[in-house]
Amino acid sequence: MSCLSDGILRARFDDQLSQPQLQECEQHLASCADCRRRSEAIAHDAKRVSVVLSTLGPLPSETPSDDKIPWARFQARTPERPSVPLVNELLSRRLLPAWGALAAVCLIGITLTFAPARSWAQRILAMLRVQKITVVPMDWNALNNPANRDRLGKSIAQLVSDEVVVTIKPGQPQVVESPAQAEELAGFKVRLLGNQSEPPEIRIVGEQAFHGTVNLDRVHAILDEAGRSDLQFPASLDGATIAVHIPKIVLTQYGNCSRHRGENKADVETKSETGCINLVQAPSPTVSVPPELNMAQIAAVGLRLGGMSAEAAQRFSQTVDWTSTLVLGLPQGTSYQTVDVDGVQGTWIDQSRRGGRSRYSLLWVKNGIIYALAGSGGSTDALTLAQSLK
Amino acid sequence: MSSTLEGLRCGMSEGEERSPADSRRTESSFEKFFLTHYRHLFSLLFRITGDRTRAEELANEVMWKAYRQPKLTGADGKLDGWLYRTASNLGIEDLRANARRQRHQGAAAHDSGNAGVSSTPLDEVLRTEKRDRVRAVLASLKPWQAQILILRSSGLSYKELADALGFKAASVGTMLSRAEAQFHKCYVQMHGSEEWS
Repeated sequence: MSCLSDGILRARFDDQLSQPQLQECEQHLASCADCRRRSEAIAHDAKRVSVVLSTLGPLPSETPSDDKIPWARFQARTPERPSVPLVNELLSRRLLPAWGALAAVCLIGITLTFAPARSWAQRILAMLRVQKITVVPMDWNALNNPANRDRLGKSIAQLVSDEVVVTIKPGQPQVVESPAQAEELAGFKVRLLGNQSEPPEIRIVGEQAFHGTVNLDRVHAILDEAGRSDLQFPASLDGATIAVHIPKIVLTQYGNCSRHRGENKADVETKSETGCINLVQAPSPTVSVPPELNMAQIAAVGLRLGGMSAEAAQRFSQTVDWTSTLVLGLPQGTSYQTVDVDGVQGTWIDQSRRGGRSRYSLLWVKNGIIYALAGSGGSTDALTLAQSLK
Repeated sequence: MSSTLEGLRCGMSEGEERSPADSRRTESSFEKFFLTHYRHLFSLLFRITGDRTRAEELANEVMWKAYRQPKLTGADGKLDGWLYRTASNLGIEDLRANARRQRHQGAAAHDSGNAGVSSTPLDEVLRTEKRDRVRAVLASLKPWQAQILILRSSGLSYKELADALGFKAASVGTMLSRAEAQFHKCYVQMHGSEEWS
């Protein structure tokens, strides 16, 4: 018998030979020192290549936790709308998440339906993710008119319940024992504030995913109710499927945060929360929309809804990269400033109430994680705390 | 890993695209197919791209191609070969384009896919560097060499490799052996022999 080929020896190493082939191969190897030497060399190379290539495999934390999420995204490619020519690009790079525009629209709903006492951090994490944050003053007074707020809130809630399909519910936040457990559950590196006398309470908010189809008639009906029948979203928005996936979020609390630790709200209102610090860490959610949508155009309508003039909204919407920017609409008169934090640019927002203590929110995005730090004091206090992050 | 498109595109002629009615009729079959293959496709594409988001995009793209094409079955009536050939083609194309872009920009390879790994910062840096070195070598190989190495590393059998890459089953061992030898040679050329030991 002639000597064995490299292919046969390689297949033998992988146990891919048939039984007769294997027998023949073993018989030859028993009597051929040259083939044995080659076989060992091939096996050595194969093992080494296998080890090297194995480093490329995704770790558990790098793998989607639930295949139903990509399935929901796949469904969001609207397979039943074959007339849309670029629909197969729905989740490609050409279709980058349109955070900004969505944020502008979502802000309206959130402003109408959420209690005003909720923090900016909570608002942001409820709706978006971005690579950077910018702020713009808006006048929400007209929409916050108590006379129509409740009615509009119900209309929006009804619209959401009719059109949105929730594929993953977050469930109750889970309290964890340690940062290591938080990292394991959340799937990303959890950072903690330094120089704190007590360990924080850490909670994990579960993953969420939902998708829905825009019903433009109903959206315009809501705009009518809001007294803004002059505003019209582009027709291309009608029937657009929007898919949202929000990864697990880590909430960390330090100090006297009694409201979140089970005390009743009435008691808490009278207590000082001077010592309470909230730190939220959230990987960027994914929001996907069809590629044909002109997000700047949609965002301009959202901005006008927030009280901006048509000209200003048009000008502003052209200056923003809506694929990666969260535009945060702050009530007019709110003080804010751009600051250097954690090696990137962030936004410090003064949330002090009239006659109350100084409070702030500090927001920034780094390495795909949104950070929101809320506490008492001024910008120096906020930046000092942020600097201590480990 | 084997699967067929039975029930998935029944009644459709060649060249015909899926209609809405077809879509509804076969949605549940395709969901099953999707859930069976998606994770493996993602894993394969993550190995190639090193970027979780990109791997998800490409896996979704492959599934979309599968969904839209009425005739995908291989000679033995199985889809796997087409699926993994398409995925590895897309992945290798992306890898090579990325390598060209990084060479052009003179930038070190950056692996955003490593975000979120629970380990020390040093571990993450080392893992990222190692992965970048391996991907740089893969990008320098002929596409079929990179494909066969990645697909084998992803767990495909010789028969599945033959189906995916269009080789004769009896040739897979030879092709694999050649690809490994070339990978070894390029790795040593690019990163030195110390790295290999």
